[in-house]
Amino acid sequence: MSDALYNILIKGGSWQTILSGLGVTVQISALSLLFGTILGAAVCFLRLSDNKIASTVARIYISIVRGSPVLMLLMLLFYGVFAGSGLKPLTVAVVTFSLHTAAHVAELIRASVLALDAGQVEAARTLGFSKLQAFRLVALPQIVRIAKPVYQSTVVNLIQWTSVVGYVTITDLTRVINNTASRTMEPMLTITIGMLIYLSISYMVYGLFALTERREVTVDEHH
Amino acid sequence: MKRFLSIIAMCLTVGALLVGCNEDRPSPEDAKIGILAGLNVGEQDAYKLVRKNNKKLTDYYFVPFDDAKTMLLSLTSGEIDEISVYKSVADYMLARRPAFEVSTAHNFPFNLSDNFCCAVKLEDKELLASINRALKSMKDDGTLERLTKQYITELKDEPEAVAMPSIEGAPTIKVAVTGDMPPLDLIRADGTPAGFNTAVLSEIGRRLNRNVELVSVNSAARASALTSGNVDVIFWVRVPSADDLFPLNFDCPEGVDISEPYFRDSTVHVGIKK
Repeated sequence: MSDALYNILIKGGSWQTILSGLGVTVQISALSLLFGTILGAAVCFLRLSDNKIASTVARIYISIVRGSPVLMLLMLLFYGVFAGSGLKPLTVAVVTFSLHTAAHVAELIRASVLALDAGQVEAARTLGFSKLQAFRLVALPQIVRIAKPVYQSTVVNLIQWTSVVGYVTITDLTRVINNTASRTMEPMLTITIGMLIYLSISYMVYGLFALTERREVTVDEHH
Repeated sequence: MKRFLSIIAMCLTVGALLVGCNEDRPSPEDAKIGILAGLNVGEQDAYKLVRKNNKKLTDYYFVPFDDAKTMLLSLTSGEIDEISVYKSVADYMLARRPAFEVSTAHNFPFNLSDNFCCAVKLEDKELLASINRALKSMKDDGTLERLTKQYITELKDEPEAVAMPSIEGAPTIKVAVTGDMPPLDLIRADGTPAGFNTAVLSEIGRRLNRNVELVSVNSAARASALTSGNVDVIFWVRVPSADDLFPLNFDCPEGVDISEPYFRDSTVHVGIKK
């Protein structure tokens, strides 16, 4: 067992290759989360607008993207739409996961907005708050609080979805784990190690969200 | 009553579809053999073809896998009885996993071997002709034999990294590597592609005065990578023309052409040591 662990993690600088793959996974996840969240908010705005065309386009976008397996979407974009475009594989991957994340974020924000008590915003407007002030000071904090648990799951899911980028010539953590398993002929042990690394990333995400919740409670107590 | 009957009919249809009226289901006596999945031909097509041509294979049930390591996982878990792999891969595997051995318990009643070739897009006729010329010269001057010894038959540990040609101003050939077939195609611990296939392509690049760029991709996506133009060359396995079990190029995807072979390897079965 110790020989196998040495071959998997240490020999030949294997740990550096694993870290490099981990870096690619984190990079794709972080960029996709950033762009996906911004795009998702915009799509949600269109979805909830009174403009029927905008709302329909947003609804179609959400249903198509959410209904498609992310691997197929990725391969369609990389080997089809963007084939020969000169775009780097990493760029296409970030575009794909941003589009996919945006669809999920749009729906979770929409659900949070619908869960909001409309009376509070109306009361704020009656008290003289402008539309923007009512949204920023009354609606937005509550939307964020309601959306947080589902958003946390979306972040963890996104990190796991990125494991398919090996199909589009990107060497991420999963690809490195697969290569190591093939090279060492120790697939069970290598895959277990890979899974533990992914679990660690997921728990770091949970920890970050828990930290923000603790900070909110501390601020509330001080007030 | 009508509604009740239509629900029953629907359930029976779904049940028939899920269970399958397919004759190709393993019986308890069948030997379950892991094989590498064809990219273009479904496992049922290959299975029926083999059964049609050789009735002695009725006691086997083939389970397809994308790569050697997944086959090994399945073998270890007891899902399959043996795996059918190339001898070079089996030797590499057994050198690292003493718990396994070459097994003859469920050997096929014939010798099977495959040719390893390069594949290019159908319209890349000039590149294909150049690769074939390079391979012929490598065969004639003994380079292929030397590389076979260095990277396969006399390989001690992990193969050394292969230096890719770096020629200023020369065009670049992009080659897909998967890392799934050591010692033919593997990724070293430091992340650099290595192995026999890589060494052959490096030498071809030198003889064609072209740079070689290696692109790592999942095995199942290599045909897509080639036909979409993301790579120029992939490695492909072709059944020898003398073998009457399968038609020539039976697993060759549309829009792809295949070079002359640079290596031929027989198939053996690997099982768990008793």
